[in-house]
Amino acid sequence: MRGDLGRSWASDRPILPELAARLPWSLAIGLGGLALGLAAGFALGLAAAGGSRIGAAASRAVATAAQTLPAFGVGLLLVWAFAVELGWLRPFTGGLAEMLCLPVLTVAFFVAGPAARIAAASFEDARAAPWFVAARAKGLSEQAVILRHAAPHAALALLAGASPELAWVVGGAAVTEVVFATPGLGVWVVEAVAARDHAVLQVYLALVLGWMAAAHGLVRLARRRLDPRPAALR
Amino acid sequence: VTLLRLAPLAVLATLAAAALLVPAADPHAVDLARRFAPPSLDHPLGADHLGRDLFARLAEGGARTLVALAFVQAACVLVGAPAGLVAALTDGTPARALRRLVHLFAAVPRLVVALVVSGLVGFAPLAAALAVAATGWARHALVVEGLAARVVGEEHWRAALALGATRPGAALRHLAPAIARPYGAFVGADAARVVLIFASLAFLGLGADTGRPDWGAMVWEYRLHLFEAPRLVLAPLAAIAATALAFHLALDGPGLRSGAGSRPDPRRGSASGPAARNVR
Repeated sequence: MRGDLGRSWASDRPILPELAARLPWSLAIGLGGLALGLAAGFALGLAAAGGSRIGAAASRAVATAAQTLPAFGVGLLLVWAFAVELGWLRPFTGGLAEMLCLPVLTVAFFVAGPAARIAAASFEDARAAPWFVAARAKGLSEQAVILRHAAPHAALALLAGASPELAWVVGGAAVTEVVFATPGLGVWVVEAVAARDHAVLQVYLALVLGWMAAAHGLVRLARRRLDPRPAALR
Repeated sequence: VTLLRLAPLAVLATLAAAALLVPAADPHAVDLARRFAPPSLDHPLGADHLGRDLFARLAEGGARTLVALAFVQAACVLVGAPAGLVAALTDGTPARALRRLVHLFAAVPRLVVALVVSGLVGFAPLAAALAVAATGWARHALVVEGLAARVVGEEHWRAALALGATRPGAALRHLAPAIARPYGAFVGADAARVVLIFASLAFLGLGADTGRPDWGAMVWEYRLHLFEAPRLVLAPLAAIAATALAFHLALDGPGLRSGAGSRPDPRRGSASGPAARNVR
């Protein structure tokens, strides 16, 4: 017990500095994709609720695609489209922004699908709620009610529904890192599995469990802060 | 309507049967003279960078995918469904511990656990199936628990118990028929996710030994040829997506979802709509 996480069995390098070097990459891809995906899903759900037919079709298409396409497939297709056909990006050789852009987009795509579904369903719920009718009867326009009253409602539902995404982001980001050869934790753990490097695996597992516990705690805290109703009922 | 919903699965089954019946070329026969050969009558999808028949490799990958899928779902049903019933029907410390365990396993990232488990038990197809099922059973238990909890709240259940039926007997006679359909739909919808996870494991080189034509492994092997021969990558990707989509459309499609809402609002406590909705 020295508290420095020990050394890798495969490379005999100390684990802690390597972890510190790789963690920022994974955090950037995972959290960036999570934030972008939740925002995009919320916007799609809002568009679908606003009565736009294109918005509804787009949110349904993204939700279905996110459940039927593999993450590595979407990553490769993005490389093909943006780096080869259009030539806009150099995801493997360019600067920091160029290297992060496509992985973040890949993760965001898979978060946006379920998020759009939750947001759209929540806007539907809101439309039928008594407070929605009351706000309309007050003389507010439909748009205003959706933006002022239904949007916070949907944001809460999205926050509650984000928990499964918090788990998905870890695994999905790992596959994405392998596709884009990002020097993050995902690539590291895949190498460790291949080499049966249990010292590294054990640190990674502890990290993932810590992340899950922290993320779930944060979500619960945020919901209690934003929605005082359950506490008031008790 | 039900028949129409199952059409995608029927197409999938027909394709699988056709791939088995049509005498395809040897998926492992290397023929360097045929490198990157375009599609022809003999080789419907052409040849890869080693001159191997792409269609034959795709067909064998499909068979391997379906076998792994069957193993995973069988294991998940055999472990998850009884666990969910016990959690829903019994009380006391063991049941509470079981519920805790189910929630823990349902919350951990599935792919990461599958990665680590396959690192421990090896990379054979059966081991890969075990690695995917290691967390999958918990989602099945959650769904069964949610469905059973709703039946337990109904009057016919209390009536059966009042008439003197034992709990296991009543579970078999009155509970199982009530939850069989929605749970069956979940098993099918979950299959789409299992196909994707298995493909991801194979892509990372951990689902099976490399050289074996798993769909995910084919994408990994061919990704370097994405630019000269995109069909090498697109064909296995399309196969993965089509399989997942078939399960998704047949059992988890928009029609089933309407009215049920999406994820149940946790503020309202009990699950509304098929409990399958809130689990991914």
